[in-house]
Amino acid sequence: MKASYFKTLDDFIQKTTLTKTFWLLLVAEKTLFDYTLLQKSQLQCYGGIFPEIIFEQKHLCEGLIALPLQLKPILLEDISQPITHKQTLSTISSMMVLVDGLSSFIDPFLVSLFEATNKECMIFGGGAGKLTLKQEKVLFSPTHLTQDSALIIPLESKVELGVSHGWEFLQGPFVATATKNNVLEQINYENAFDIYKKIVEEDSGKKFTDENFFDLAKSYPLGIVSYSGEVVVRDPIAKDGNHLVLVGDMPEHSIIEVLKGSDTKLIQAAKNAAQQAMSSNDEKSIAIMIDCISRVLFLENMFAKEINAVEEVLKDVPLVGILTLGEIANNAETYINFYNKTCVIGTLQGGKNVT
Amino acid sequence: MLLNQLTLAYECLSAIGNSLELDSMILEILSSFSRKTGAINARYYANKEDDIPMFSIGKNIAFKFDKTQIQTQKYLLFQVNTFDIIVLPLKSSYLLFAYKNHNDIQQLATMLGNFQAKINLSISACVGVQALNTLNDELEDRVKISVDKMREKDKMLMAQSKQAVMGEMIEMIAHQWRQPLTAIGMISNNIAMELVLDELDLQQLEQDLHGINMQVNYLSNTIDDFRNFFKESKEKEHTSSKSILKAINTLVYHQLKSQNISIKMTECEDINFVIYKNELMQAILNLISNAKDALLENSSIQEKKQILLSCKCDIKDFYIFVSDNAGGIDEQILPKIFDPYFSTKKEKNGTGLGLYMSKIIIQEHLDGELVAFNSEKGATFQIKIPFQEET
Repeated sequence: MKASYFKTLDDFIQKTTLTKTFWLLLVAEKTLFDYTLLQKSQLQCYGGIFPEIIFEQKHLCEGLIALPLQLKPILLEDISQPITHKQTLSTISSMMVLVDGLSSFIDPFLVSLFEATNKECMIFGGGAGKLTLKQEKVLFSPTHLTQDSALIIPLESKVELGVSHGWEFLQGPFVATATKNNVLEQINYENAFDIYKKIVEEDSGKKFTDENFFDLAKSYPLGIVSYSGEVVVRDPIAKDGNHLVLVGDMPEHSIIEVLKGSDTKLIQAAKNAAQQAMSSNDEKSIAIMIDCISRVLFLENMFAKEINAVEEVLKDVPLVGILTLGEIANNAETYINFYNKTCVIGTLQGGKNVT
Repeated sequence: MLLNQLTLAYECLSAIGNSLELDSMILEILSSFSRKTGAINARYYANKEDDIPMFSIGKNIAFKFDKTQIQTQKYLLFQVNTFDIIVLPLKSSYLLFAYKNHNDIQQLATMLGNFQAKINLSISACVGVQALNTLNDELEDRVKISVDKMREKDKMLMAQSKQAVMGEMIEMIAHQWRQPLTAIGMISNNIAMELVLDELDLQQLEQDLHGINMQVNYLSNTIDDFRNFFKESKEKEHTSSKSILKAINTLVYHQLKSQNISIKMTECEDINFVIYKNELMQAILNLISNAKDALLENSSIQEKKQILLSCKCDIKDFYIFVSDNAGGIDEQILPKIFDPYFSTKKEKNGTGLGLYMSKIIIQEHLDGELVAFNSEKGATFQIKIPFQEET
């Protein structure tokens, strides 16, 4: 799969002549993106807008990555409605899924997607959206620009997945005693923010103010403890009164921990994810890195080191990526997880579906 | 690992019994358990014999297994194809969870087995609530049907009672008409005689015709009195205690007199009020008729047979008393006299509805009370009616 980078949408349209090919466009937030240009062109383009993209070892907030596909993607225009493409989805052996990262229907949609796909289907992907955290139309097909939607990109190649985050235990366990979808209302029967604030302020030595919530909270995510030992990270992105607003749902009665990150651990985690994705000896055509934008905000200049660490593992396998609002992965044996602040890497076996 | 196990146990336990609606409770168990334990498929079979699950979430996988063991085991753990299956038998239903490559399947099965009692309890609670809701819905319908039946029955009884009263009325009319008819007969005979004898005096004739006219007017008024009584009171009327008792007296006086019963009215304050007049009169006439029958039946009465009508009022209520000197009511049957179809009348065919209907009229139509008690010489019926005094 040969990925190409274009500085602008216009540039891509001008230089692309393959009108019968299906294109996956991963567009960085600051790219001048005029959807009508795509509509007017004869190109079969599907894709999404993300805070940043990764191409040739750099993370970029402008430009787009174009990936040619052999199979036609499916745009599910309204994920609040039951999936109607069950027959088609059940035949797909692996897929990349892009969802509206700020939709409140992600969790039920992923449950529904899990039910619709076959027993062996490998799924990975992430949440589209912008760093303004305002819900917009960020997913598109040749005919629609949508929000509260999902884009299914069927892959013919076998996919290997790696998932890791590197956030470490700070305090817990606590019980999420009252939640409403992605809003954590109570921890241990007390106001969620009061408990969270105490722990974060004590550890960081800094005080929460009206303006600095995300600056401080980005270093202290919450983790949902699971039976397998995996901790699913939830990113508190805002405060609503005494409640915490998260990216992704948190089921009531979840056992949670407050986590803390360090540059080294996060970079090491991305490396681990790459190693998992490269664990078989099969030849790989490309690696797609789905990494949370808040890791960039946390690591800042050190994020380049995370990309380098992944590249070291991938060696000559080309790497492209998106920095997302939430990451998606499953291994076909359990439900599809929606992560935050996590690094998901999918490697595709040698170039069967690539032009 | 201990924390993970505790976490799982806590989270699964928390998912049980959060709803009293069976479907949503079961779906929450299936969804939470499968998410927390990593089940690829979770099902609920409403009956142990069922092959088709009532709910199934997760991947759609097909397999068969021997269901005979479900009756006895706390949990079943077995492999089908590449799946580990845990079956959790419940009282009359069962849950099934399918896993693929689970590391700790035996421990998981033991843990799920321990939830059996709590799930059973929660299902029982849901089923109980469901039954209660159904019962409540049915009860409402049943009460409505019963009330309708009661109303229908009351209507029928009212009609029967009115028919009985009508019989009495015809007798009263007959008594009331006897005297004026005799007078008319006598006057017309006199005129005929004078005509035959050619002694007809025009002045006398005019006087006689005037006399006949007066009697005819009296008869006509009597018909109006009775006809008004049989009219159904659709609206309350402005009336007074004296006018009611006077009307009663007019209706029954001649009949009672013919049976050697005197009716007396004590002086009482004339209270103005608004009431369903004919209903009240029907109830009083029933009580008078009952007293008359008692007086006629009791041959051992030494003194003059008498019915006494009296009344009084206090701040809120107006009372009418109907008393007789027939010796009173046997204390043993006193509590039953207002029951429908209860009658002690020997000679006449009592319907057993008079007192019952009087009570219904007083209680249901006039918001009052009717009680009976024995006084010195006989029985007394007390009607108590809250009055809306005319302003």
